[in-house]
Amino acid sequence: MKAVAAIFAAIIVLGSCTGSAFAHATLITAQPADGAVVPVAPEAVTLRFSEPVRPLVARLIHPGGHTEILKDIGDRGSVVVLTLPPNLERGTHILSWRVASSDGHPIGGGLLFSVGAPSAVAPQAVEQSDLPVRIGLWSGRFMLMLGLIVGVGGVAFEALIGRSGSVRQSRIVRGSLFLGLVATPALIGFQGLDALGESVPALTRSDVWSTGLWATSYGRSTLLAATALVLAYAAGEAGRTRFGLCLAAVAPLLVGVAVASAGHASTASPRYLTVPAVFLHAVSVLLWIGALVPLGMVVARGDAAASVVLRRFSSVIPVIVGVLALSGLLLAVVQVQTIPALWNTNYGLVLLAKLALVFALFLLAALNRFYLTAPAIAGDASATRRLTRSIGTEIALATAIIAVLGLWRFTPAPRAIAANPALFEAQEVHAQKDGVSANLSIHPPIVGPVRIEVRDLNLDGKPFKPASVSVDLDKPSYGIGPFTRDARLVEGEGYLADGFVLPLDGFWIVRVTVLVSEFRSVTLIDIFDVRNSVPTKAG
Amino acid sequence: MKKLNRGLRAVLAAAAFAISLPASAHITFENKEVEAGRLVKFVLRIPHGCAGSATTAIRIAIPDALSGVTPEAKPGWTLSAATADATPVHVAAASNGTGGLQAKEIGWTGGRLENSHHDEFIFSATVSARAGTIYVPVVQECEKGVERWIEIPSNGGSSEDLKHPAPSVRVQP
Repeated sequence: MKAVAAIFAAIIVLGSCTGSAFAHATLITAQPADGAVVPVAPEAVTLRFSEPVRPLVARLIHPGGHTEILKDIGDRGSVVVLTLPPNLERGTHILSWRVASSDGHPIGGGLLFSVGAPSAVAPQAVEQSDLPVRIGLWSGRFMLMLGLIVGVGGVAFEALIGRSGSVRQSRIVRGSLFLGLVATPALIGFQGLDALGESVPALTRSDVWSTGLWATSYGRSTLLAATALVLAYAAGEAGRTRFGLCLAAVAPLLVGVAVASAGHASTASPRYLTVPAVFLHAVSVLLWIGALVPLGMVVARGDAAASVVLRRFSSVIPVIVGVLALSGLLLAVVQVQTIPALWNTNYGLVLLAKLALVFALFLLAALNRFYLTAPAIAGDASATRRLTRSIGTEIALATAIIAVLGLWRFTPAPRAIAANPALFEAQEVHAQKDGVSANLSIHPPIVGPVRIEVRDLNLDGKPFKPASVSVDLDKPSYGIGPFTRDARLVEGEGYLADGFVLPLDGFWIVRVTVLVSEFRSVTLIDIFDVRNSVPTKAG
Repeated sequence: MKKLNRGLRAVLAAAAFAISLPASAHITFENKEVEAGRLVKFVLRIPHGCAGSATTAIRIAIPDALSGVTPEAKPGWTLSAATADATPVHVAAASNGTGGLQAKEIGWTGGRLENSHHDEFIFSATVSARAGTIYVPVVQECEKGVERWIEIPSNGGSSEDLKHPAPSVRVQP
């Protein structure tokens, strides 16, 4: 029982490290300043920080939408000078930078400046990554997830539940660990390509790799996942020692941390619910699906231990599946928010496809659990055969679910504005935290210049007047931003913040910091789904 | 069982070490842990000004978990204290050391601390909380601008999103 308590303590500690606050350097001034309109193109951007920093990567998005990595970065302690390319065109340029604080923690920010005058229209939609890059990204992610689920989950199963089965680690589990480790560097490279909008030959450039590692929020989580793979491998090597068991138990938790530390699901508010939910969802998927391969093999082999392992598995699995279903339901509710969003957004469509497959998987699992497990334990040969076949089908279904997950990157570009104008005028979300609630909206939810409105601001259910409201927009998955603007009060309207220019579609995180009193602030966090305005040829 | 526990504890210790690396750019307390029920001297460290500008005032909101607050005088700075209903409290009363002061806000004003210099501001208070973490919101006023170190992470965890976290201490039961 003590061990169980210790494992729970570890879950809580690991769960809470996902968002631990390191002290970071802060940006003091930028030259040209954020939002500046300069008559002639500047030669460089100078960033002054509160403490010495090490520059990691800086990207300039031109008014035309073309992305460029700034190569010439000079750093003198706490001052970073980014040399801009000569002859910048007129219009609004977007700069995103990432630096490492002295403690090694990467921090980032963004600023806009306009040469001549601000661009009146959206940057002509940054070119989407080409098809080979998207396929590479998807396959890398698919392989890594397969490695994590079958490999790490399989090791955990063999150590914790299948412990009276054969000692030999199954080749599929070991192979999956290897597959995951091979996929890791490839995935980092493709993440870099995707973030920069480059094509495959650019993999030879080091800036692509540093972007993949440092500029996006996925880099760190990919490294954590790789660490989990190595731990699981070590657990297999250590065998049935206490150390091995301990490693096998920690590895899935680390995967949970990796998944919870990146991705939009853990950013949605309320975070105290979504971060643990993402963590539990990932760990329970690992324990359930990861168990299927070794379980299927034990049952198919029909060795003496099969009935013991089956009995043990069927006694813990309802708890795991329960946690999985509850956390998944919670995340789906938080993310989709409105029912029409299920078929109006790419995310919703992919979720629908996933849910259909998950439903089939649940049906099969129930069939196994309630009709086949008992006779198989009793030694019924035909039930055992059917159980083996059914587990095989479950594995196939689970693989299909993993395959569907990364698919929203392939969903067709959104319909032209004319097809559904209402979707492109505004998008509103209701956010609340610590007694403060407000309706946040983005006008329009399209790539380009946008305005954020904060309406119906309430404190403990009553309207109130805060000392100040500031808004920031951030796209950490691509390492763009955050861009911060103070909101101004417009009587009868609410608080408005403009001057944002969003260079890319997809999920943008909005943070609204409301200064309730001199000593108290509340930050509301939510997500906007920003679309591309380019009319598609396919219509 | 025992060994397994020890292994896990080692992992926990390593994790705890990894997340307790020293903080430098934020306003923090020198003491990270305080004892419940004791009169404790809090040393607030100010590492720099606001975005390059010199500090001219430090104001602290006293949370409910602290009582009997006495700010320590500092040459060149004027002490101030106020109760919950914003009634000013005589600073002489504040420095008599009896710990009877029921101030909800204390401050040091009228001084000047260069941006590149760091300094410490000290007050004593009795810790009335039995466990948990005490967050103490601080407003740093500068010649140009204000920094509000008042952000409190939700639900006990800490958060990367916090740019200006309120300094905190853990209570040891």
